Amino acid sequence: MKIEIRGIAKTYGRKSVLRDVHFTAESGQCVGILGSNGCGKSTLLSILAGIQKCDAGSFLYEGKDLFRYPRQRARLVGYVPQGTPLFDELSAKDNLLLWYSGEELRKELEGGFLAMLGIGEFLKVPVHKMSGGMKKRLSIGCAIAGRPPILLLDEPMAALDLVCKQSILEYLRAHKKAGGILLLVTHDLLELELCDSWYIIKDGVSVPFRYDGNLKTVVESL
Amino acid sequence: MKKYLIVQFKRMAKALPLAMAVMLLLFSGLLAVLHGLLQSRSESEELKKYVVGIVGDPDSAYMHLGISAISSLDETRFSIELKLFDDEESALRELKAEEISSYFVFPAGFIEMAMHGEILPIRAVALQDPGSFILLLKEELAEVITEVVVETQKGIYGVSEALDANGHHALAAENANRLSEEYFRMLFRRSDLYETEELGVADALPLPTYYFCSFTVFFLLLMGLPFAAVFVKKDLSLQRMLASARISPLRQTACEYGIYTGITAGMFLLLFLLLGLLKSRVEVLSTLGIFDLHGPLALALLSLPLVLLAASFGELLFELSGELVSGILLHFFVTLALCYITGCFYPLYAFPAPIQALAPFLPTGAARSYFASLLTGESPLLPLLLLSLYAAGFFALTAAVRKRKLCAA
Repeated sequence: MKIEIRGIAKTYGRKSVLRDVHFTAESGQCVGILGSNGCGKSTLLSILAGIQKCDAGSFLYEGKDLFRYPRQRARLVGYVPQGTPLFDELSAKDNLLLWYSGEELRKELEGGFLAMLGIGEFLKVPVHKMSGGMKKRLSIGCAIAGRPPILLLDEPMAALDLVCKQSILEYLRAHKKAGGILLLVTHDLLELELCDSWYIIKDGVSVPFRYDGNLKTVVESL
Repeated sequence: MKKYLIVQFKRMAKALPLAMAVMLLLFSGLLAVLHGLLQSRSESEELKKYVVGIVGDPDSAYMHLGISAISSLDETRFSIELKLFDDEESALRELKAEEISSYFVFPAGFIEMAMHGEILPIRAVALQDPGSFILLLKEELAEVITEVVVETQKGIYGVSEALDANGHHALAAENANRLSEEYFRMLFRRSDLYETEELGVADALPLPTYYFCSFTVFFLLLMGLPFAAVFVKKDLSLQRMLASARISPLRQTACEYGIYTGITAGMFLLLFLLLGLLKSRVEVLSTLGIFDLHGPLALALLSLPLVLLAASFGELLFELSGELVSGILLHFFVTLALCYITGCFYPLYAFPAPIQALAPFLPTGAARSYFASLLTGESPLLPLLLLSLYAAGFFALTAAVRKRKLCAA
């Protein structure tokens, strides 16, 4: 499995946010996307997730442009945005039932990725009573409904403690190991270490970057 | 999308008990106020009945004319029963027993003297009472008797004398009586002398029913407030995730709108069924006449356009807000302002002409006119068209705002 992002461009009015973004990823790989605030990282993910359209570019999956096949794109791509994409007043189970059928939910909770994320422990807890880590695990659990091979994650471990980060990292490693592809917008060092390739969005253009474990190098590149 | 509908229903169902309680409270208050209004109106509008004694020569043709004139005094407000007495003593006796409210003593030769331009004083006797018939007559008749009656009577009897002098004796008497009778009827039957125009109660409704219409619209719009937490979204991440899963902003809005409309329509139906059940027990409900044309079920179903408008209006306001408190305040004050200028709190005639002309075309004005047409049987086509346009427009705007917010950089 291989994806290619080619020539993505997006303009808001007179402001050109993205001009020429391109990168590739193969099965079992994680691509890290970095950049300063407002450089267009989240915009890129929302374009790839099909929330908004780009002015130019293509999103190729096995040579097929998923921008032209939204149904297939929705099936292949899971998206975890920033924030808490959950209904606060409902329980974890009710939130999951928006994305899973009853049977699918049962199977995933018994031995699937939901079990790996430990969601079964707080299934009946309302979201507004959950901790940040529980919410993020639940968010990821909702996004992986249907087991999409391509996951887009926008700062998935922001504001989480180390224990929570570790459990999420374990899941992401498992997803890679299972042949999935991860596109990760990140500012987190742990997340950077998970990645196999890195790109910095600078002046609307994606620039390949080599992360050597040195934070200073990252900062200077931004 | 089906799953999203189910989830939205679950969310709104949690707010339903509060919404029902608010609705029942508001309408109970409204009915209590209308009951008070009706009570005060019935007391002021009740036909005042007077039993008035007449002491004079009952056989005089002109006395009969005068009696006829007094008894026809503004029949819309007064009911006057005249009682003839042979002498003043018997009238006085009944006055002291409060069997009559007052009596008038016409001196002998009163009419003959009036024909010649001289008014002999009529003695009016009544118990001390600020609302007595005496006071009434003083207000109603003083100017007429002193300035008009004598002069015109001169004319009428002048014609009569001319006919008589020319040998038309029967015709003279007949004409004099007929003219005088018509003349007195014209003078004293006030309802024929002027038109009463009940200003401000628009849409052909009595005032209490007008207010019922108006406040129903106002409360219907406010019914969205208990659902504010469901609609106001600060964090749009879930909406983005849904859009990614091909539940577009338009579909999201349609699902939320559909569930909210269904729930509100259900509450409205329950309300009308309850009012229908209570109609025989609660006097104000039968007096308002809200179920005269359509039963509770039919009225609730016919009110669906109102519900559609209220739902789309509320959703738009909440969509424009980013926070719960500001959303509630925006919703409340916009509703209040619109209802005010479209005559929901004061009859529309109290506003300047431009506002009166504009009001029926505003959302709340169209809503009130439509609901009123359901009660009066008048054509609902124009307000229905406006309601439909507004509902569709607000819905489209809501979806557009949602899409813009999701796509914002």
